Amino acid sequence: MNITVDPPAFLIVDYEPERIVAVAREVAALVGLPDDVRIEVVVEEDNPFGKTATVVDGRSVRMAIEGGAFEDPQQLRQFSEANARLVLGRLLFRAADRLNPAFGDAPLEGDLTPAEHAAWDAYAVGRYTRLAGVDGGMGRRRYAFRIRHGFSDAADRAFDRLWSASGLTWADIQSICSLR
Amino acid sequence: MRKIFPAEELARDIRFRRGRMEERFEDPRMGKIADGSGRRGGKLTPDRPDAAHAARQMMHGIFVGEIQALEGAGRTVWDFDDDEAPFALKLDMARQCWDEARHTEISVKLGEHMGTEIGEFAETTFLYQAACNPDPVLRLTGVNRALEGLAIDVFNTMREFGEASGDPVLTFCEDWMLADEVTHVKMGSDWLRRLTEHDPDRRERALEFQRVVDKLFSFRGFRGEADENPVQLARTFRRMAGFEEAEIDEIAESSKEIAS
Repeated sequence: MNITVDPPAFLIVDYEPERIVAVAREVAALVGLPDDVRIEVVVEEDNPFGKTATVVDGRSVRMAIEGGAFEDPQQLRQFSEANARLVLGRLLFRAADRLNPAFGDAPLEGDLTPAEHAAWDAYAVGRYTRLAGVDGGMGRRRYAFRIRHGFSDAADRAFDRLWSASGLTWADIQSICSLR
Repeated sequence: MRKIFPAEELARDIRFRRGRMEERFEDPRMGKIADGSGRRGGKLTPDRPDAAHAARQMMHGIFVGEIQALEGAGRTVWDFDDDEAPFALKLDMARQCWDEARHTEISVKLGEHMGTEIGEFAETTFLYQAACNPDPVLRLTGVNRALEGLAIDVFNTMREFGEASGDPVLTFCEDWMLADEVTHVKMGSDWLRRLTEHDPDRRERALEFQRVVDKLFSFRGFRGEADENPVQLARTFRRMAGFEEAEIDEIAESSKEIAS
């Protein structure tokens, strides 16, 4: 699998491109991305926030990541491998969904609503958590979901279904969210 | 038991990680945000893409701030003899300890509600350091007027965030804690007036100390009245706490200057 990281060297944050490539390779294999997929990780190192955006174009996945997304929240500008794994797991599961014809046509990233992002993220992180056997921060994902879908029992039920599901289509995700 | 306890020796369990204020001041990424070349987080609203993370981080900051406020008020009860600080002032501080202990417990519960673990974010001890001033008037002014004033702004911001995101738990808890903070600021204002009634120089020194602390917490646009400021200056609640309009204007102006 062809994986590249930009920039080739970090000057502001204490991250190593080789380490990010290694983590991305492991996570991509775990998620089950085919070997012919090309992955590009672009890290905006001078940005302490954690926004991410992914573009899937043919067999190419380009992830634009604000540097804070990979940061250790306890140590400024230090790399957190656990955080990087979770972020890449979430993004690569979503990319794998887009590459899977059975998943259906989801809107482009920029056209997704915050509520749709939260739902798809819950589905992606839930799967990654089970597959990797790690604590994926279910509580904070639930909170992020509630902000977009409401603080209600119905919203919690929708989150639980997304978190524990596998093999969903885009239509399934929309349907679960509409039941809240 | 010794008096004036240093911040470095505050007791914390292994979940906590101490961060240095200098690390934040020296972070080159913050410079880019301040000079406008980097993206700013902006006002804390549910519209922000990182709303959940930003709210959790701020809530954790409130949590460690409550612990330090408890430690600071507790030290003020002990650190001064009655001729330095009247017994009635210490009673007020003891009452504040009770409030801060309750706020700490509420903050732990709110952290759980938001999916945050204790110690998930680094803790800086600047609040407690302001509570180490050897002059009780300066200490009270720095803590009860500057920092508890900041707490009014932060709690009101979080209360509004809770309302906007439809979170009844966050809204309710922040509203109750906000009410206590207004009382704490009033205590600071009252004691400043009483203890410096015949000593204008000491009052001015105390107010200058408050300005320094206020400026540090308006650092790089953290607090202000523009949409780009994560924490919004809560004018109405500050008035209720006894701040003069001119004082609030000064904080707003100073925040603008620091941000630019």
